[in-house]
Amino acid sequence: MTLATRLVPLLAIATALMFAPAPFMIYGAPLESTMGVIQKIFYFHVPAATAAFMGAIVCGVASALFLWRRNRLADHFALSGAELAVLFGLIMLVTGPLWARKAWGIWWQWDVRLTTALVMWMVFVSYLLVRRFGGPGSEMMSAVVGVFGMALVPFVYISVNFWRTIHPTTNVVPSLPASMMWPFGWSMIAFTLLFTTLLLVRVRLETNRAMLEDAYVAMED
Amino acid sequence: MLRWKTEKNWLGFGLVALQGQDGFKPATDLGRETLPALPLVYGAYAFCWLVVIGYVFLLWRRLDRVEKDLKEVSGRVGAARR
Repeated sequence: MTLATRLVPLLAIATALMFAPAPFMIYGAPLESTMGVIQKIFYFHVPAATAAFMGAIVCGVASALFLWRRNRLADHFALSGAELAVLFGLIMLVTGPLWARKAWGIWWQWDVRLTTALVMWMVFVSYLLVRRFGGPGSEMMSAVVGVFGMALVPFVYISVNFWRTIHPTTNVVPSLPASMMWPFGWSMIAFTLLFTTLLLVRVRLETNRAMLEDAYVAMED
Repeated sequence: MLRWKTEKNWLGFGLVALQGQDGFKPATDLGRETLPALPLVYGAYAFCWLVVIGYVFLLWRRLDRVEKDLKEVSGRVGAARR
């Protein structure tokens, strides 16, 4: 039993314990003065976006490592990271417009933050599509896509500070009052634990798949 | 207020036409017109949980299937080697 396999149950319990009081903490957080109750989406929207960024970074770094060293485990991490970037990116892209509908009066605005976030998500969707339908050698092609996807992360993050946009800037989080920072920080830790748990389980699935393929080859021989 | 005016055309059919507003009246008891936020907040949280639970369920099923296959194939490979 590997360390990662032993860590997963502990991480899963820690994640559940973190998520259990989160709704009460979010409910207890004060209402924002201009947006009111709709701002409560922030406590899941931003951690989901951060988890999507983490997935993108894991995928990009592991893809670069795979291209450099042809390491199989790195490829497993890259695929798992891409899948999680798509999963959490989907949450980010759906909860954002639900917030925007009330706060801005529109579901979507083709401004730089929203557009770059959508493009980044689509890059990781294309990573998974290349992986699924690319045939032999698709792990090399998708690794290049993964590196490009990771390169988009800083652009998505800083875009709100450099271009004119209606999306809140990155100054919002550091300037949060303690009453809002607590539930936000709590959600961030909960999402990070969820991301780590899912990543380790997904890597285990991919490692087992590779072992299964090897076993089939051994059987044929 | 928009009003509807019914007139007969040259064939005798009744036509309904939208007539322009010819006066404005101040509202006395008109509730604050606003989009309710709570359904959007609940929708966002429900979507988030649905996606995560759905993914965990699919991941668990995929892992279970692969581990079963792996056990079976490893057993067969081991038996063949013996």
